[in-house]
Amino acid sequence: MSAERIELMASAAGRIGGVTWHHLFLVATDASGARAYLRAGPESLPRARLAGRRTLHGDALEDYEAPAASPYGAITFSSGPYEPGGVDFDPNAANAPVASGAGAAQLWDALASQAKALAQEKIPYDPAGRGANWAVMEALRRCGVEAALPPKRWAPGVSLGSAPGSAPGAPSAPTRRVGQAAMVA
Amino acid sequence: MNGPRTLAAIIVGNALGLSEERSVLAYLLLATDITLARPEDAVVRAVEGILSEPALPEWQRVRLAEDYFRQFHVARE
Repeated sequence: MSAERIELMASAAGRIGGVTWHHLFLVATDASGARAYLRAGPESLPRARLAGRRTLHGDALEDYEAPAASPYGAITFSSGPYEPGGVDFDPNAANAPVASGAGAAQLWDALASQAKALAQEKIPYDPAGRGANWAVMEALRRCGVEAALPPKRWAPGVSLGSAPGSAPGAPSAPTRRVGQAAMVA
Repeated sequence: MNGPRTLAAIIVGNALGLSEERSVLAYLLLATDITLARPEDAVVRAVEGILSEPALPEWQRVRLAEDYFRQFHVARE
């Protein structure tokens, strides 16, 4: 599509400790008014979250294979028409402008390229850090865009920068429990 | 050098239900930043809420609380 406007969308996804958190994705609109989305997500869900879910082939757990990168696999991107029934469609989502006019079409193409590159990096999906929100903002950063979120919307992962391993995003291995003595030979 | 750090970690860990060293130490750093930054009360309440979310593992709670603070604290003169 030839985008005339790109917006950063924030859709309420749940509550953590009484605080509403939001899922970010991008929506482009062309001259005819048709809209398309670009979103990030996990490669898969952890086994515990698949219980009771069904796929086209039946019970989701039957053909489950644990991904190597993390319980959620790697960060993936997808895109398609933004319309009712779609994965992220939310008529109540807040929006913030990212680009409009002549630059929007170029940016939309660049975002698609950066999304593909990010997916190829097989970055482990981390729901409390480098997850979908981080990935969308990282794709924008790699296109030279520092986008502002819709006001007063918390999107976990957005505070993380691009540098690999920067705290607090990098998943770390569990540590010993507090007060547990370390035995040194 | 390890004594005071461990003692503080035990005290904080007991109060918040944190037991892993990485969680407690990350919380101590976050608490220090919050104390120095003096954010709005609403930000502090939200951080406390996230830290006490029972459905999440402690390491995720601390990291999400820090993420919230980083996103919503606006430095004041």
